[in-house]
Amino acid sequence: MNTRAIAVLLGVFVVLLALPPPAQAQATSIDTLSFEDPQLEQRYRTLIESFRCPVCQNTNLAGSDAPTARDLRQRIYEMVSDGKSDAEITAWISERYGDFVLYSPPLRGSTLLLWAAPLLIFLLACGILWRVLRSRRSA
Amino acid sequence: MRRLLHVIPLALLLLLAAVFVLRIMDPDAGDRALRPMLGKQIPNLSLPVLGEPDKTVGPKDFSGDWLLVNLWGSWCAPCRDEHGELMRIGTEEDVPILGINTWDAYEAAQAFLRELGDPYTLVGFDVEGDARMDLAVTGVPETLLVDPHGLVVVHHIGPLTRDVFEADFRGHLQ
Repeated sequence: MNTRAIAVLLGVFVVLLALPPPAQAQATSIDTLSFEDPQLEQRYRTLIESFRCPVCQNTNLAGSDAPTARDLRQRIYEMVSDGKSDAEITAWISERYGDFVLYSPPLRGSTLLLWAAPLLIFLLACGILWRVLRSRRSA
Repeated sequence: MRRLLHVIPLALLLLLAAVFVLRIMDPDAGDRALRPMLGKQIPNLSLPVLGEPDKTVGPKDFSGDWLLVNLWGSWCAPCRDEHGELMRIGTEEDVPILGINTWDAYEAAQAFLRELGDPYTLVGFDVEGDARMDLAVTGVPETLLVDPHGLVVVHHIGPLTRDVFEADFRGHLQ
């Protein structure tokens, strides 16, 4: 096998893994809840983009017109207006709808493999790269 | 030997992929996602009683008994479809039914029960939608079976039919 080609491919793979994900398209929500304070509005928008709509296949709260999504946007709007923290709002929604609505699942026993997988794959790739380079040098 | 060393990382990667695919395909996982209340304590709700706005009602008022909690709206066609089965349960079965009227108007809800009959022990009117969010329902109709300790043991999404009642609810109630 052409070890040089493998090394180059692995290098490209590692670089791609390390790149940040593409920026999420700015979803504009359907309803017109507005804040006086632009900072609160920004927090509200970030929050509704960070939760999955419980009744949609894969849409965030911001992008869904489902009645449940409307409910939750309204409630998040009220909680942000009432000065609730992001952590409190996240706890409120995940207590009801479970981890399913969190695009970023919490780190715990059942999600350990999920969180460790990128690191495992990275280490595997490094291992292969190291072997390939070493065998090239000795050859 | 070298060939084997090349195969090990690939095998590990495939194993990892297999674990993820199996977890995604797990039908119970999707079920748990849609029915997050299953196996949890029913939250303490306090809703104004339809027709008696001075009184309030919630699932905890029935603790010590098995309880059906049925969420409905007068505008909802599947709710109309399941109403016959609720009427049957109300007369033939020995289990109280707490109705929760949600996404609805007070007058319309009352008119619905006048037209089709009232199988409910009591109906709570979900004014602001707190009940449907606290119960994590995703639409109407949905029916929960709550055990005497307040645990949700069945969460049925969609109209309740005789077949569904016999298959999913009957076993718990005996």
